[in-house]
Amino acid sequence: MADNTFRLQIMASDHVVYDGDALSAVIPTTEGQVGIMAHHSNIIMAVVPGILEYVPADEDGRALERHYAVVANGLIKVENNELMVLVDTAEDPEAVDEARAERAEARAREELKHSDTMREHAMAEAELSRALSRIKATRTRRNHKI
Amino acid sequence: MASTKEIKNRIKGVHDTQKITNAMYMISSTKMRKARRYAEQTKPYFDLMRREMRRMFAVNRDLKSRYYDADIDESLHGGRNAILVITGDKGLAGSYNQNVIKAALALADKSDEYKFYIVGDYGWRFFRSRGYNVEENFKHSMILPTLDMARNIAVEMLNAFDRLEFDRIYVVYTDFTGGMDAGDAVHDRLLPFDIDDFVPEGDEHASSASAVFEYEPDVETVLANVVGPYLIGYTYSALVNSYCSEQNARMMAMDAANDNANDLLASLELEYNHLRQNAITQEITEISSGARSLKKKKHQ
Repeated sequence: MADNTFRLQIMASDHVVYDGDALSAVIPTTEGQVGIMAHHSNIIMAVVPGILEYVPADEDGRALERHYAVVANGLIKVENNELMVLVDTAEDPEAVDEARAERAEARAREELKHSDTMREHAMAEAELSRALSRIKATRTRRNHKI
Repeated sequence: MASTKEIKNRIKGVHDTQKITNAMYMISSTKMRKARRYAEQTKPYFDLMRREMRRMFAVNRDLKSRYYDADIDESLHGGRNAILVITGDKGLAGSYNQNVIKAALALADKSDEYKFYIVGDYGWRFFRSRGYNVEENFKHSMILPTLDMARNIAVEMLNAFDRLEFDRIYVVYTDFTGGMDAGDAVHDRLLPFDIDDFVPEGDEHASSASAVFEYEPDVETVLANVVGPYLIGYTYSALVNSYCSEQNARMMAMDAANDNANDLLASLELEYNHLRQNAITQEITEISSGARSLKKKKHQ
């Protein structure tokens, strides 16, 4: 590991976002955006919902492309030049809409199962079709970009 | 005595039922494997979160907040309790649902005031039709537990707790033992949670707890910030445990049904063959006696 880098581990509750060397990271905390670089003193801070930035590094300590993630509540810990970020959710900013639409879909499906009256059923069904079309729209938009 | 046709129909019926129980057995085992695979993915995160919380509690034993406390006398169950009950959506799973319901009712008996929050259609129907105090707007099916589902449930419980509606929140779920029994219905206090749960187990943790950390802004704020994620993790593991227990219980129930069907088929087949033999014997007797009487007539 080059001298100007530190080990960065970003863990969301259901997947590992990044695990490797990094040059710097900017994290939304209760005290505002906090920047962390190599050889930071040992610290534990509370993460609040916001946008997290980090610059990954290659083996020689050269900067790679800057990454962003939309994060929820959690905490960070710096210990012996290792930064660990534990956050409930971390999403690619591009995929935020899609993730939200997917959650809405799951919710609508559950409501559909629980609908007791015709009216509730119709409403849940409408909600489901809205969610599905939103998912389709975000996916089409993303594919066009690539 | 039943005719051979009736027994034949009966055998066919048992065969058809056996097809269903066989299929249900297979479905349950697949569902269980799937749930465990998902749970496996979230384990590292929640383990790390727990470790960090343990570290914070280890340095500050006398912290106190609405969310956690070391000195709650668990023998006094009274007060206003919210009880999160995790049941299944369907029956046909042995005593799985009954065990959970029994444990939930026992807990409600000890409370001064209670309100049930039900997960799973079976429990929902049971508690509602019998007029228990159930939160009407809390509707969750026990489909494959996901983190999102756990998040929704945990946030709803936390909100109710924050509105000061309850003194304590319990969760009643089934602990998955993986063995051949149905698993035990257990209850745990979700909020306020016990710091003693975080007592370091061995020396390895004690050494990591001794490392010096700066807390920004302070330990209380950091802890308050992870109460949500901690609850989500806890709820998720309770859901997964219950789900696996349910599928396991169903597998065993279906296995027993299969065995019963086999026994039934064996005895039915025996009876069928008996009847068939009897019919054949009778026919032969009739023919031969008929032939004999014909012979006698000729001789005369």
